[in-house]
Amino acid sequence: MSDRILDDAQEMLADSVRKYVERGYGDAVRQASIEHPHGCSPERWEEFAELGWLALPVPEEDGGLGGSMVDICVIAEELGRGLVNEPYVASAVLGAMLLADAASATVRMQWLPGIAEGSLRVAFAPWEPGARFDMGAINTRAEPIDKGFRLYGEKTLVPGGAGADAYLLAARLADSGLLGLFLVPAAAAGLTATPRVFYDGQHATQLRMDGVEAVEALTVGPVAEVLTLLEKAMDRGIVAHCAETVGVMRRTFEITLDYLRTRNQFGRAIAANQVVQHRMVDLYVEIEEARALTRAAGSVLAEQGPNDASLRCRYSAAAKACVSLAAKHVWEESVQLHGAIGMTEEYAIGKFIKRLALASTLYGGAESQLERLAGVSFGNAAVCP
Amino acid sequence: MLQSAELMDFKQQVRSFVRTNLPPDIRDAVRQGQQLPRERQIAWHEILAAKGYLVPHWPREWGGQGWTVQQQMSFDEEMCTNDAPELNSITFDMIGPVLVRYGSDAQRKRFLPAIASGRQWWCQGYSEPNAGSDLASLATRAERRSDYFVVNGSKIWTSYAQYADWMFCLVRTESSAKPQQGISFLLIDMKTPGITVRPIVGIHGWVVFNEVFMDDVAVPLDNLVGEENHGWTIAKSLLEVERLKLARIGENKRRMARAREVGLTRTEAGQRLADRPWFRQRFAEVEMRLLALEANAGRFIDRAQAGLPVGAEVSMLKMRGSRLIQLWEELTVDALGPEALTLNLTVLDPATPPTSRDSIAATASSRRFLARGYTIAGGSSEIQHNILAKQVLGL
Repeated sequence: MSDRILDDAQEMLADSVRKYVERGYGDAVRQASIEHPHGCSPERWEEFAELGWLALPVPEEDGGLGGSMVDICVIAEELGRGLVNEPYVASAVLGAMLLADAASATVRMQWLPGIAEGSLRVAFAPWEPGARFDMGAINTRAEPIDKGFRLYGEKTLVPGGAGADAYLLAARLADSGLLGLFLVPAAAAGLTATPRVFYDGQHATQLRMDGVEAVEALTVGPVAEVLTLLEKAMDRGIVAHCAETVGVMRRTFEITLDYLRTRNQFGRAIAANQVVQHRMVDLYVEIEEARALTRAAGSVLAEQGPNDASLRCRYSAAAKACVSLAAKHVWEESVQLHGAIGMTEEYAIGKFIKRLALASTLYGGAESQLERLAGVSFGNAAVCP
Repeated sequence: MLQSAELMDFKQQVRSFVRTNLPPDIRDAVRQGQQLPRERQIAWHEILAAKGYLVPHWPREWGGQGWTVQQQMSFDEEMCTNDAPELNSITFDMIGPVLVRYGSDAQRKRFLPAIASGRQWWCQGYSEPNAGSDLASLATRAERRSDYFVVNGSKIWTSYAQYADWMFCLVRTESSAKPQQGISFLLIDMKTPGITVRPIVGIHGWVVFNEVFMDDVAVPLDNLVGEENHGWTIAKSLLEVERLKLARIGENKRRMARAREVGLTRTEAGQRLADRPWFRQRFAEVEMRLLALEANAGRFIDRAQAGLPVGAEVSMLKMRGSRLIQLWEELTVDALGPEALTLNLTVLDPATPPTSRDSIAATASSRRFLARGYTIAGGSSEIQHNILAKQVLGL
């Protein structure tokens, strides 16, 4: 349905991203991005920069456009529709915004203008092996040395990590009980970045820190304080990821609906069967709700600022749970309604299905998010500050 | 979600009005899940009418407040979450607006002030033993004589007919080829000779439903609304705001508060239920669905506020809002466990004071059964699916 919630400028933005994707992001372009060792075509990233999309999440004082979360969601949704493979959400939104939140003026000046113009890319490494999507499970150690720290530990599956110029990661300060957030250049000695590929073709990285020398921490503080900083950033990443996934779902739904209208069995279109119609209605309603809740979460984060922790947490957790459940429902039904052809690599729907399956789990699936939401309703400080 | 300061003020005003003016016996009965007798319900109507809060959504000349769509929705929500009794939507949301739109001048002058006073109760004579969701196949007949119609037939599932002064009724006035043609919309005085009302006790213990028999009931020609044989159009027409209200956000929030209270006051394995993973997951999922419904309804409210039609998509609000009510009630009875396995029917009678034991548990099973009606009445969920498939997805 047409949206009253978008103002004219946002409608124009959505329209321009959609046109770019329709004209310039076909199957061959996507395939080239998937096959690029970084899962990110440099030419496309440059185009994103020229269009201002990379500058949007960067504050104005750092050479960016200081766009709102609602604007970011508009872009992400359209990129999702086009099944764009470049790590817009992971790198341009989550990574860049965390850096802007945490870094000193000097570090911001070094990195953010380059991020906005597409010459630099950072990624946040939120998780460690064996702890699911729990950002608080940090075993990476930071040992103080003369000048700065030395880092030891492991971070698993860094979205947008392939080809990043630097990684943001948290480590425990030895003996002090404090947490630090560090910026580690990709070229740092002692850092091993192992490429990983998600099953839908997006790229990630596994990091191993073996005495990496980090000159200084972006920030050091009590555990709860630093975790709150990380969660604020992660909630923006989550909501942008929800918007992207909503775009993927909408396109998947359209493809499936087209298929059902054109494929004939027993002398009539499959879509003529009421049982099929009702199932499509269920998907339609779930997608519309997921979209509305994501937009609501976007405006909560944009307007309320991320300072009201419980409101922020409530909406981002609810949106992600809603989107995760919807994504799962949409991809499973899309396979079933397509029949055997829905299970093939060569048919268009396959790529959408894999992206949705991944998206329903990435950044924490429904169960994790519902527990987080319950934390807001019934209390559990450890889960949600 | 985010709300303007004016809207917050407005809600605050409504809230303090309800809290100050809702008689405690009525509030307790609603909390308890007791069925209010007609006189207590009317007493509340009169309090609302005195403040101008009974028919705020009507046009100003008939007692409306000229509120925005957003204010109307917030008003309903505040009423609900503060345990005011649900208002009979048949009376205030259906026949009132129908008469405003389709009634003759004489009909409006005769009925609208009476409804707006709060003292006149209406019921809806649509469903019949062989015409449930499929209203077009109804068989009650009205024969036109010189100055009145003679109505014969029966209606069923007529909510609150036992309280009603009047019934608006769909009758067949012509047996034409197309089943939806030849239906007329009549207003029938329930005191007319030939009308018999048989209450039907529900599985929930309430008497909501009735069967209404009409045996040579004489209805003056003046009581025909709109044109003869064109009643179907009127029956289908439900005003935009009323469609938005079917999201039932306030009723869902009231139920969420009850489920929450159970979670905080019951224990299992030495923990609050609110700390048990199964309860947290289920509660949070329904809460999430309610947030999604609210956000989704917000888009339709914005549309209506901008003067745009809400369109057929609005059916999804009714579909989801009604289902959520069931999910809250199911969670509540599951969480109460053994406490919700019994139902002492006397606790449903408002003559009995609320039990000191526990008002949530005492009537939980009744409310759970009552909740099944939401996905059946007013266009079943399956009908809503059909509407969305046909009119929105173009299938």
